[in-house]
Amino acid sequence: MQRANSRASCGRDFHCCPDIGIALETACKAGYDFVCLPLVNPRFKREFIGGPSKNRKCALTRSDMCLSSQDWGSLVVGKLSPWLQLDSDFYNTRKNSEQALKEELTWSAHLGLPAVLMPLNSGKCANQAQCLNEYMTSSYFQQQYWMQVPLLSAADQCDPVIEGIDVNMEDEKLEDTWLWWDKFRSLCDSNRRLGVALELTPDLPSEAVMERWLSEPVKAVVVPTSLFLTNKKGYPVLSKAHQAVIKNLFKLEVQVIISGQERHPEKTIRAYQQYMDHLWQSQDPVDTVGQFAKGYEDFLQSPLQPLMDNLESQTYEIFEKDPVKYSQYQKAVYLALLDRVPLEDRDKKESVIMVVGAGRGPLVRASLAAADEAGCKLKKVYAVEKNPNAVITLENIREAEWGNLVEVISCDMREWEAPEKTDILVSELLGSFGDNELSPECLDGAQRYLKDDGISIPAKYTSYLAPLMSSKLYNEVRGSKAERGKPPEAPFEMPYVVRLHNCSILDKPQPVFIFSHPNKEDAIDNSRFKSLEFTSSETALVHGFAGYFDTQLYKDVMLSIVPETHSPGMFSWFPIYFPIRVPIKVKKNTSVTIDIWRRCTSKNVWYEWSFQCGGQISPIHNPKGRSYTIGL
Amino acid sequence: MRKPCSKIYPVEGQEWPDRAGSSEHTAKRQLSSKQARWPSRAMRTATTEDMYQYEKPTAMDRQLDVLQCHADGGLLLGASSLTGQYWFGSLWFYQNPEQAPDVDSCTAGVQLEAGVGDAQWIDTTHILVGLDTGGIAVWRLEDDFHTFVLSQSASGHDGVVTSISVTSDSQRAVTAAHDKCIKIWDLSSTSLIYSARAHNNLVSCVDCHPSEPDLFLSCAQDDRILLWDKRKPKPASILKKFPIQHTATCLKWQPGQTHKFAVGSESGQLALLDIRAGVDNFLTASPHDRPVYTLQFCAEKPSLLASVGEDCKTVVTSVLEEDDMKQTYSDASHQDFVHGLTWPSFSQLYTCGWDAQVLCHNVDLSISTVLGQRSAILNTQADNEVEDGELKSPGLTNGDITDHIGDGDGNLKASYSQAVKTSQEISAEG
Repeated sequence: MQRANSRASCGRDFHCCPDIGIALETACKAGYDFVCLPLVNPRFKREFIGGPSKNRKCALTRSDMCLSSQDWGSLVVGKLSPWLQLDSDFYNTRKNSEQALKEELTWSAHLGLPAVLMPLNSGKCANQAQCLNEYMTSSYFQQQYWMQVPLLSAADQCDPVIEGIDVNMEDEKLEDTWLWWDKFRSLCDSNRRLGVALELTPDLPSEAVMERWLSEPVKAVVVPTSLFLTNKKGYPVLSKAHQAVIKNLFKLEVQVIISGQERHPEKTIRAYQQYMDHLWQSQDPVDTVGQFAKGYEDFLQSPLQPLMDNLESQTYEIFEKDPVKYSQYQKAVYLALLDRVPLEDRDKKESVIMVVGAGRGPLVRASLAAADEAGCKLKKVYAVEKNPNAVITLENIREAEWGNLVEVISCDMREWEAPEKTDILVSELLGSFGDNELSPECLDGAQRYLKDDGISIPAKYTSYLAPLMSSKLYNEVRGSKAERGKPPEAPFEMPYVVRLHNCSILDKPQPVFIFSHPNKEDAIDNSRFKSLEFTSSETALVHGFAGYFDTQLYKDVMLSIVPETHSPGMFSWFPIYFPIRVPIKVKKNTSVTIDIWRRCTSKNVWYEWSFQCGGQISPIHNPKGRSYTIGL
Repeated sequence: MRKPCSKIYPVEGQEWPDRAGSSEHTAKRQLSSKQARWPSRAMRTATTEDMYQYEKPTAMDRQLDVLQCHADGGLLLGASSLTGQYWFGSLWFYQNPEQAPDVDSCTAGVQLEAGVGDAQWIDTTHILVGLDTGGIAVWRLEDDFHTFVLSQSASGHDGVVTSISVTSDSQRAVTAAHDKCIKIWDLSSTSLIYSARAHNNLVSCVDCHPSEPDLFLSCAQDDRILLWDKRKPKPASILKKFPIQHTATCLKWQPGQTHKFAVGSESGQLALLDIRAGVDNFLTASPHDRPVYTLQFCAEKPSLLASVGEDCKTVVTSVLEEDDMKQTYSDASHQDFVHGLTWPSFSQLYTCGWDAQVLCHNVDLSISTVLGQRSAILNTQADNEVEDGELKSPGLTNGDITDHIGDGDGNLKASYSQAVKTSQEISAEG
């Protein structure tokens, strides 16, 4: 199975670099793709406020002519000075650090480095955030800033050598370093240029805490050489726990940075790079859905409106490739026929099947095959399709293959006056959120020609939702412009079909709206309201919710894109994402409530939604469908 | 071993009296030898068996970081290049301290593979050096202090070594670095015997107890001062730093005492504290207004505490109870951070800094003088011949130079006579 990158991208971190040429040479020879070098000598403190040292006359650091600009721009990640204390309580220290930071940042921009590493070691980082944010806002160059955050704080990783201090490794007592990052990036308004370089520590926090990092823009993972164990042959290897962390992060296509002294001199630093590559190659192969979705991760797409618009040939072609969906439909029709036609009537009784929304005919094929398999005779199969272009395809197949058994009806199913009633009504009008392609409204219009004891396939469909955290998706939405005529918050008030990747689902999905067919109610009401409560096991940010659906085609023949029950290999539907205008913070073990409405008029259907958490209440999104509606 | 100076082989064409073979052959050998010795500035690390001829650097590294007096009156100088294309360091020994930091007048000099964070004498001929690579090295002075030879080296830290200290029995050394770790090394084999991460940020200073080899102090940017006692199962304990208000940046045990130590802070505050929990009395003063970098007590007179820092000042404070941290000397001649500090005697102090200067401070007379400047001043007079080597006796110098500048500017003469006066003073006290 091919991956986007064929090997792990590794970089070598040098804390000290007496000769930049030798550093680059050593790293390149050992198979590394890039290096992390200090921009300024780590001991070179400067004074900016006053005194004779303020007038020091010498270059800040080595000349940019040491390397070609191409080398700077592709091979080197700059490291800021480790002695900077931007949040010190002492004015002189803070001021000098601020000025020194500014110097180093402008130098790194001058060099055109692809990224700059900055340590984030404490929750007390407001001033550090302000300095970097001010700089990012005023600079034009698209340099990235990687905040080096350890998985566990230095205090929690102290050796147990201090009298009176018991290093407590209970999960509850450990400091949550994610909160440091959350504060920093929130202060910087989730700037796109800000990423995380996650530093592995000897001990690791809980699964839930680790899970949260997978929703963050992690660009690199820093692996200290002190973490490596030595195997029997003398090669450096990592513990199983560390391997698992790295493999998880590999899904986000992170780059690996090996830092620290060479601790396996016979094997040289090449051994670390080779090991990382080995881990990369030994990742689990991607499944079919993953294969299909390659390149679509976190890519926002507007949901299709097959009712209002007509689908194109290419779209039909992609859908028809789904290996699972049509075989499930065939199974459903097969079982339905077996149930409807008792054994003794199999060669006498003839059934009528109507496929509404036939497209280019795959469901017609499935129905014909099912009847054949069941040994049931068919009187007629009606293929109803409103898209005049797809009707051309249907007519062609009818002439070439199906013959007079199939009748093609070029008409909207809601307007068709059927010549007879049908035994089975087959349709696939479902979107990623179940009813969001207006299947209820269409089938309500079609059920008048279903026999009183007739069956609808699907019999029922249910939508699900779960709160999610993903600064990547939020930033994508934030980056899109509202269309002309729509209010400025429009991008936040519409759903997107997206292959969720760099995100974290905060709680188990819960069912939302259920529709059953046929609908025998006297007054059919397809509008809905549901209020759902979720609990997050860790402190997190809510960036919206993820939507899924499942459908009962017939009896226990199901299709599902809900993660726990996902139909294996079925790629026809990606999940749907409903954003939130302003992210809401949910504290550990507290609840977040999501209210959602399905609103209908004679012309449109739309969703409205809102969030509540603690005292924070979001406004209702998309009121009166001002930003997004689905046309009837 | 040959003297490490820039000309080892004779100039091409000149006969080397002891060489066998024809001059042609000799010339070829010289050429190939020269090529083999063409310096790449990266130094090769050597084992004890590997006796390489170490190249003396042709220029002094700009940032002078360490000064340590030798028991017999010489001076060790450690320097680093923290800017410029290469970030190397160097180690220098001056039999006559007044010549520091003049490159041509040094007794011995050697280039190091990286900058020197700290250095200390282990005994009369061995020096322990903490390097920016995160490693340590033991250098030996051979050939009557004329040659540096690498005795042992080891790597261990994942960050620049900021501070080193040799235990009172000279058996072990403690090092601190940017990797938040403290490491203890056995000096006979340069092997690591202990490593601990007890600080949460860069460790700035360690100091071993003057008589107890198992005790040492450390301070770091995490605002903690730790007392370490290797005999205990949990060796480190947090000391209360009151009255120091901000982060401690350097420490020194007071010689002759078992419980007292001096602390310098990032705000320039000094304090004399006691390690015992019950003892609350302390002395404090704020002679500096920037972080204090190094503290040194005078070995001959332990009531005198010298401090230098990033405010470019050199200060001596009396820590006698009755004096209550009175300042007995203050000097602001340095033009950049002062890092190196050492007491040759109870009335004299040497300091060096990032202004590339070594100063001699006469504490009693309150005068400071720049050392090693003689060749610089002589060079302003173009006709003078300056020879490599030691300072000539004042009388001879006077005679030679006065002839040349008899016709010169009155001002020039005045400045020269000032210089002469200085050198006479030095030779009188040296």
